[in-house]
This record gives sequence, C-alpha cells and structure tokens, in this order.
Amino acid sequence: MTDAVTTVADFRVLHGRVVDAVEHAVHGKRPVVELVVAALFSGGHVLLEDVPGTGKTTLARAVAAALGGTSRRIQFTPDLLPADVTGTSVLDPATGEVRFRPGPVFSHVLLADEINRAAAKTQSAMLEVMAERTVTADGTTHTVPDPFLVVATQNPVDLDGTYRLPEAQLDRFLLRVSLGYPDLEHELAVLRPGSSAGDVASVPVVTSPDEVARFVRDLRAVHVADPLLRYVRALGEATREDARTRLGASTRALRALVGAGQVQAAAQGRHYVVPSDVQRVAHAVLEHRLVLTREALLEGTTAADVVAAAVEAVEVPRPAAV
Amino acid sequence: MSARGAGLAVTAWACALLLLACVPTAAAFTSPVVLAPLAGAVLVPFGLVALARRLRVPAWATGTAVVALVLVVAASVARVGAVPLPDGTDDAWRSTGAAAALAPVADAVARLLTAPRPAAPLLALPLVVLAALVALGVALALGRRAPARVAPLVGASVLYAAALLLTAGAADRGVVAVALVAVAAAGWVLLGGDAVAREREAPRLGHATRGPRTRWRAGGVAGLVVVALVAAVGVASAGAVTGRAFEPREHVAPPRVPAPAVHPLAELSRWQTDADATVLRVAGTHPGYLTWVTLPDFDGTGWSADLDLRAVGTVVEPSLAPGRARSAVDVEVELAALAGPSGSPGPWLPSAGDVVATTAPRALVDADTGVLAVPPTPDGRLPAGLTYRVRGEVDAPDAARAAGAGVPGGAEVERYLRLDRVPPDLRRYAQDVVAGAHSRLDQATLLADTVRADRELAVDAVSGSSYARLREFLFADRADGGQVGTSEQFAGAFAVLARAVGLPSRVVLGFAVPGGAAQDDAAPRDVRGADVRAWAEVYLAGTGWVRFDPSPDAATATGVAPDARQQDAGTPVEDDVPVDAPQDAPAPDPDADVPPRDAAGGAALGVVALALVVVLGAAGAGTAAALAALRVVRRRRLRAAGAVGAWQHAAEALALRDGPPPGAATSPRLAERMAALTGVDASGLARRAEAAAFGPGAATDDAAAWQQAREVERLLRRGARPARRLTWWFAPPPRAPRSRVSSGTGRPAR
Repeated sequence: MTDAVTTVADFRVLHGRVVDAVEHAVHGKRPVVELVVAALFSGGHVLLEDVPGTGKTTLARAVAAALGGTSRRIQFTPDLLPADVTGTSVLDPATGEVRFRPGPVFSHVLLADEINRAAAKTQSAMLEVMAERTVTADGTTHTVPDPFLVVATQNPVDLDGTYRLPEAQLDRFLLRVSLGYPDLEHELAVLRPGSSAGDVASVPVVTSPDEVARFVRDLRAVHVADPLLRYVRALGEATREDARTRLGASTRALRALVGAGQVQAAAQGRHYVVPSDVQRVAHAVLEHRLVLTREALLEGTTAADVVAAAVEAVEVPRPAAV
Repeated sequence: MSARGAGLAVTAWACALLLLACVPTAAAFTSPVVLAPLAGAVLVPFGLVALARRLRVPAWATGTAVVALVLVVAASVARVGAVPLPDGTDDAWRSTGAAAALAPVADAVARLLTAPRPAAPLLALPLVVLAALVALGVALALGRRAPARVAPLVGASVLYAAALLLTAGAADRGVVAVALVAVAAAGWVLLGGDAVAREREAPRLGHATRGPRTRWRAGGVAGLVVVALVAAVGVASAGAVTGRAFEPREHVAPPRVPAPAVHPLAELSRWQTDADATVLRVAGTHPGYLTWVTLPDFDGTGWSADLDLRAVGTVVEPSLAPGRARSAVDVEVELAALAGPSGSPGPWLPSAGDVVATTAPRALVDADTGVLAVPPTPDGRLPAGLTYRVRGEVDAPDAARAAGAGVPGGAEVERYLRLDRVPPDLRRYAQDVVAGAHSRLDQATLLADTVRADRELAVDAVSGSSYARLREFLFADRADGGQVGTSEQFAGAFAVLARAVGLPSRVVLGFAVPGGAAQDDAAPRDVRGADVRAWAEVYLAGTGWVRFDPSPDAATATGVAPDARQQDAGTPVEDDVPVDAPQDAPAPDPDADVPPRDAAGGAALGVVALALVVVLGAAGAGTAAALAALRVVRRRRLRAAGAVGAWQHAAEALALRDGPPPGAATSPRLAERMAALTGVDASGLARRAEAAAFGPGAATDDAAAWQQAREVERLLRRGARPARRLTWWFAPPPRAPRSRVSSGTGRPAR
C-alpha cells in the first residue's frame, strides 16, 4: 500500500506539472486538459470533437510537447491510404533489402486531424493500431512506441465528404471531449497580442515517455472497491436499459470508465477510487459510445442526456457502517 | 416521492377536511361525544401511515395492517357494546371463525340503521370504522402523486354523505357543506399542486435556503371563481329540489321474529272468573289502561293478531300515522299472576301506546299495534316476577279534532276494514244505527251506545267472536242466549259494526288500571283478574286510535264492585277523548328521557374511548421508546465503525433535517450541504469516510471524526423544524426510495 501511496503522490505532482505545461499553450480549459492528460496516463486515446478554431490541434500538440516524446500529425483526407498511416515496406536501393518504413503511427503522440475524412479502409487501419498497438506489414508485426496516444480531432459541423466513424472505432477512444469556446477572461487573454496561446514551442518538456509508461502501468494498482465496480456496472446497466438507447455502454466502456476513474483518483492524490471520480469522467467516457434510437434522435435527445439520466438514477455508494 | 410523503401542510389540510366532514354526524346521535372517537378514527390512520413511511413499510402492508387493526378494534368494541340481537338472526355465515368474530361489526350497521333517532353514541361504531378506513385511504393516497389533491375531498364527501344519509338530510343545512367547499378550495389554491409536488420532489441539496412551502398559483383567483360558481349552481339546484330526503333506513330490513299464534281472547274469560287474583302491579304515568294484545285481524270467526315483532328501537313507521296529539307513557309494571307457570300463555307484555324504550330484556315490539313481547319461557309463558319499565307515547285524541276527523283510505287501512262475507243483517243494522250521524266520531259513539244499550255484561257468557256468535249476541232474545256477553262480544260486535260502516277498527285485550289515568304514580296499583278487559279502537285521520269501550258499566255476575271499574267500564266516548288531563300534564322528567340502556351505552363508550386513547398512547410511546432504543444501539454500532460510522451519523442527521438526499449525491456533495447548513466544513469527514469505505485496508476507530460528526449533528438538529426536533431522537432517518438501479452501499470490506 505504501508503494501505491508513493506512486499516487508522485503522480499527483507529475499530473499537475503536465497540466500546467499544457496550459502554457491552451488557456482556460483546465478541466479538458486534465481529462486529456488523464487519458494519456490511462493508456487511452482521445477524440476531440469541436468546431474549427477552438484549439484542438494545439491541445494535442501541447500534450505531445509536454510529454517530450515523438509526435506526428496526419491530416486525414479521403484519398489517404492505410499505408500512409501505418507505414509500408520499401526496397532499400543501398542494401537491396526490403525494409519497413514506419508510418506516422510510430510516435508517442499521434495527432489524427479530421479523422472522419478518411475512407473506411484507412480508418480501420487506425483502428487496429489503436487497439493492438502493433502494425502488421508483410507478415511482420511492428510494435508502436510506448506510450502511444492517439489524439484525434473531428469537426461535427462540416460533414460534407466525411465518413462517419464506425461505432466499433468510437468505442476504442477512451474519451471524447469538446473544448468549446473559452470564457471572456481567457478569450481576451488569448486575443491580447503577445499571448502565449497556441505557442506550442513554449510548452516545457516535463516528463518522458518512459515515465508515462511507468505510471500507466502503476496506476492500474489504484484501489477500486467492490461497491465502486458495482456502481460502474449499474451505470452501464442504466444506459443499456434506457429506452432511448439502441446500444448502451459496452463492457469495454465500463473498463475504460474504471481506468479513467483510477487516473482521476490518483490525480487527486488518492490511492483509491471514490464515486465522484467515476461521476467526473462518466460523460467523457460514455457519451460517444452510446447509440441512440432514431426516435430519441428525432426528439432531440443527446447521449449526454442519457448519461446524465443514468448518473441521476443510480444510487451512489456512500460510506455506511450499518 | 420522498419518504416523508405529503408535506405537513397537505396532511393538515386533508385532516381538517375529513374532520369537518364528520361534524354533521353528531346530529344523528344523542350526544356530540361521538365526535371524539370519530376524530380519533380520522387522525390515527394518518399517524400510523406516517409512522409506517418512516419505517419504510410498503404502502400495501400499511394498508392491510391498519385495516386489520381497525377491524379487530371494531370487533372487540362491537362485542363489548353489543346488545344481542333477538332470536331468529341465525344466518349460517355467522358460525364460521372469522365471520363469527366480525358478525357484531356487520350487525352494528343494521343496529345503527334500525335504531331510534337520535341514536345512542355506542351505535356510532360503523361510522367510526368508516371514518378510519376513509382516513386510511386518504393518508395512503397522499403518498402517491396524482390523486393527492382529490383524495381528501373524496374522503370528506364520503363522510359527509354518510352523515346526511344517517339523518335523512337533516344533519346539515348547508353550513358544513359550504365550509367544506371553502376549505377544499383554500387547500387547492394555497397548496397548489405544483407546490405540493415541489415540496415532495425537490432535492434540497445545494439550496442553502428553502423556497416558500406554499405559493399562490397564478390562476388561483380564477380557480376560486370557478369553485364559487359551481357552489352557487349547487346551492341553487339544491333549493329547487323538493320532496322527501332519501332515507336509507327504509331499505334495511329490521330483524323480524316470528310470533306464536294463539288466541288470547280466551284468556279474558279465564281471568274474569279468577277476578281477585292480582294479575300485575302498575306505577308511573299511564292512561289508565294497559294494552296486552291488540287484535287487528278479523276473519269472520274470531279476532287474531299477525304480529311483526322486531327489536325495540327498530325504526319502523306504523302503517297508520299516529295522532297529532300524544301523551307520554312511563310505566313500571311488575308481573304477578299473569306470569309464571300458572300465568297466561303468550309472549305479550302489558304496555301502553307505542313503545320507545323498555328495560324488559330482549324486548320485541310490533310497530303497527304497539304490542310489546319478550321471548317466552320454554313453557310458552312470561318469566315469573318480571319487572320492567316502559317508556312510550300514546295517542291522546282531543275532542275537537276527533269530531271533525275523517277516515283515511288506501291499502294501509284495509286490514282494519276487512269483513269477509259479513252477514247482510249485521251490515244493515250498523247502517241503521249510524244513520243521521254527522261525523265519524258520532257514528262510532252511536254504535258504542247501541251495542251497550240494554245488553248485559256477564263473565260467564258464551265466548267467541264469530259472525254467528255476534248475531246471536246482538239479535237473539235473552232466552236464546242473546243480549248477554263478555266484554269480548261487546268489543267484537262494536268493531265489526264499525267496519261495516267503514270505520277502521280493532279489538284490544288489556287491563283497566283501577283508579284510571295516573301521573307519576309512585305507589303500585294492583290490577286484578276482573280488570282484564277487551275493548275496541277506531282509527280517525289525524287523531290516531280512539278507544271505545262499549261494555256496560258493570258486570252483572261478578262480585267486583261497580265503582272499582267506573272509570273504564262503559265510559262514553267523550270520556275516552280526554281533553285536559294528559295534555296539561307536565313534561316528563328529562332525566327519564334517556333510557337506562343509553346511559350505560354512553358510559361504556367513554370507557372504550378512554381505553382506546390509552392503548394508542401507550402504543405510540412504546413505539417511540423502541425506536429510540434502536437508535442507541445503532449509534453504538456507528461509533464502533470509525470514520465510516461517524460519516453515517452525520449523513443521517442531514437526512433527518433535510429529507433523504438524492440518490446521485456523493458524499462530498452531502458534506457541502452540511457545511451550508451548519458552517462546519465536513468535507474532511466525508473524505475520511470514503477512504475507509472505498480504500484498501480496514476501518479504524477515529475519535476526531466522531467528534466532528456529533458537532455536525448538533448544529443540524438545532436548525431543524420544531416538529422534527421533537422526534429527532427516535424518528428513523428517512431514506430515498430504492432507485431503479441500485449499486448497493459502500460498506468497507473487512
């Protein structure tokens, strides 16, 4: 337990440092930044969904910069091929051997811009990398670096020439978050000439990929009591039983919820998860995985409504002695 | 829906409506003391339902339990207070177990609806049961959302309607109805449905100050106008309705007891020959004669009585309306030779007029004739030495009204006009006699005079009342047995002749009390065998039954001194229409107005009500004590559970103060609410509790946490409503109802 406590205390410090570093470039979005950083430390991928110009790419690049690892960016287009993403085997004229030339996925942070513009084939190649963290080319399996974080962005407004991400792929994103516009104070700060907003170069490197990989591994040990697991299960059950959903939260979704909860707890300096941790990440983890019925969509129901209803309906486990 | 159910204001409003609706019931009883058990019956179910909600008993279980409680209490009270029904109510279902226990409750309804009005308070049992069940329904309905605003009004309407039905509409002249409408409207407007729902639903978490509990609805005034309009239409239509009020009693068949058929006129001869035997003793207020049996039926061979005996107190109107002028009878009778093994056969008790109440055990009465009877001994005779008191009323016709009175028609009088195959000479004789009479009273007087004239009253004359015997009595010569008869022939001949000219008549076998009418006669008078007589009565509209004794003044062949029977024997009709004595008689003693049984009933009711209050109070105190003990035990266990127990202690205090928290509220949010209410930062408490509950490792004793929890509880209690502060130490902390999806509680792993 002492190990866990030490790990958590270290992580809390590190988490604060990373978030502070990212905030050099992304102003006024601390909750979102915290979520993205948490996803990073729970080994998941993030889908940033927002209108253009809200700082999605900046956020992704800032995270990559603070992490200190390699970072690549793919601008997804309809004509992008799977090999453009994963890499391809080429003949090396110097040696005369066929050699695998790694694609952009071989980096610690992969920024997948406008991921929904790629064709299904390319998207499924991404899917494999995100889930398996390996690339198979010509019968050889190549492992992507550890940690491996995909920060994908998606524009929900301009849907011409886009391919909707399949549910299976959406399910592979740990979180989906929106940045939204900054509030008055922060927007003014961003607008002010000389602002560091968007200046990814100013983001200091505060950790290393190895350290992140270690924490990803160690944070799995954060204690999740049985009532919490039952609470998570009940939340999932509530989304499944909701008449407005065609597809509720999957078991993978609930695992993700537990994992995100663990990182949340550790970020608060706790070596155990409490219900508020789960509640805090529930929306980001669950919303994008729910498929609503046609009727519910016509009525204007959103996935956020369903998750909110589930959180409202499920009784929170509270400390009770008798 | 919170475990607290409806708000206090709504509950108070519902109680007020129901209590108000009970008020008219008092008019149906001799004493307004009935309102006390009725109020208890209304309030107790509300209390029990509220208590059950606290204890989180499901509504169906509460309902079943309270219904069972009401029935058990009702059955016990009915058993204690029940006057046994007369023989003959031998329904088969009464013999089975539960039905046998509940039979007194079922009988109580019939008993109430057949009781004289106003009834004794003890008979209010069915109403109390009704009020309790209605209140239970309303209290349970208040816990639900939709009918909460309607249920109290429906319940009040039921109770109000019951009161009106019981009194045939006389209970309320509109005042209570208007008040009910006003209270209902006030409740609807002041406790608008939104406010009611809000009070019940609103999670108070996060709101440091509570909003107003009641609020004027936007359309309140408009609603009031609508209610006023509806009320006005109701009042107007009520004014337009004429005619008699609905009387539920007409639809209740009072228990009927078959009467043995005997021909009591034979007893006349028997007692005439045993002239000196003391038949009975009489004291009190009486008209100078006592009725033994009234014989309204004549079939051409003799007079008989087809009696319809029912329990005394049964409300059955006689088929012929009583006279407008009546005098009171309050007589104490001691049976002497009339009863016992050597007495007369038959169950009839000497009485006078229409019996209202009697002390004779298990007495029965025939409404049409006023004949009083008791179940006879196995040998068919009256119980020896029976002494009883009879209170009632007798027609006291005044001469002026009787002189102008006619004879009613219709089916009701046919019984008293029936003359099957009457010999033409009898009819002609009667018609000749009454020729020239100016009024019905004149006709009757002429007939009586004619029957009496020149004929001889003899105790040893041939008995019988057949047409043949009457023709012989009226027309034959003395040598042939004519012109001589007992009072049976005089009365019978008069009654038959009266019927022949259309006068409703009947023959009465009774006793002439020596000394005549008496007022508060303290010394008992002996009635002897010679005083047993038959006379006749004629019914005149508006006057009632007028007594005619057509027998001559004195019997010729008896040793009885003529003056001993001066008053009654052969009195002219004018004397039988006393003008002064009874009317001018002082009103009977008001104390005597309440029969002893009713007084006993009132006392019994008081005892029962007191016992009920004591039992309920003890039950309430016992429940509170038990709950407080449970709380102490619980507190010990919480104390032993370290930080988790300390947190639970504080959280339960918050629930007591604030109602159950929303299911989704996490402990830190509860701590925020505590901080808002008390100013004490309880977040550390919540954190420690969550660490103990959800962290690895076991709970430890945490004195500081406990200290803080007690401080939070103290401050929460101090700020609570007064009612809550009173129940703080024993009320179980309210909990939110089980949510659709439960994830269990966070008990620490041990």
